[in-house]
Amino acid sequence: MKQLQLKKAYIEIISALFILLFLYTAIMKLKNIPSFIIAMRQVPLLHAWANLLAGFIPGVEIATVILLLIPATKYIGLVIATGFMAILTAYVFYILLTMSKLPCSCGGVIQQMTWRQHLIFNLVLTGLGMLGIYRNKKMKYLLQ
Amino acid sequence: MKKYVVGIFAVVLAIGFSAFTSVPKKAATLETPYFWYHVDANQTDGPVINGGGKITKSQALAMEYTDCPDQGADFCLYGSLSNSVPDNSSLGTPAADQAVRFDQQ
Repeated sequence: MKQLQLKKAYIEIISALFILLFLYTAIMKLKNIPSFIIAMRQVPLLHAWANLLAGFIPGVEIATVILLLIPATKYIGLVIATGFMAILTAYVFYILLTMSKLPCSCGGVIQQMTWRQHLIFNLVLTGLGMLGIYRNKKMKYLLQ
Repeated sequence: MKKYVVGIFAVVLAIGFSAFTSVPKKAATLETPYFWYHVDANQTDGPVINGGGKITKSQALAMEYTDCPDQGADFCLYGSLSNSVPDNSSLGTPAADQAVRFDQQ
């Protein structure tokens, strides 16, 4: 029983972390969309999609926050959050390999990080998210 | 209600942090729109690239990105408030929002 409570607590904490991160970065991006578009336009891979992504990325982040807030959809939210974080990690890795002199198109205090620090930050969060998904699956198995 | 406490706390924290994090002043100011000209050897080369009204540096960059990515030491685009800058006019030292650079190879 205690193990189950610990698993539940872990999932609550990682969900709260994702809510905090995604909502914060979505608000910061929406506060300054022109800067966000300009930064994305400087990446050849994203140049053509900059305007679309400027609305899409904060939209996905806010939608994920809503899913994480509702208990019935928390697991789906966690899966989407982890998947989204994995995609962002791949993007940061691509930037590190090809053009690390570019300014970060992320929001707020994360903008103070170097690309390498940002990669580690994303990898840690992706790992925590994957662990949360795994623990949630184990929890459902134990409850059966 | 207990189920929502942690989530709501995270939302409040996120809104609180974002309220206290200011947008960098440089990014927050509006860009001045100009008429843009191609540049060759530090002189204007050809007519205005944007027919019609003035556009900002970001918009000019979007039109010319692959040839003029704003990275490097040489000028490739120059912005002017005038739409009739003569050919081969010298640029002098334009402001950052009035010029786009590239690496001449």
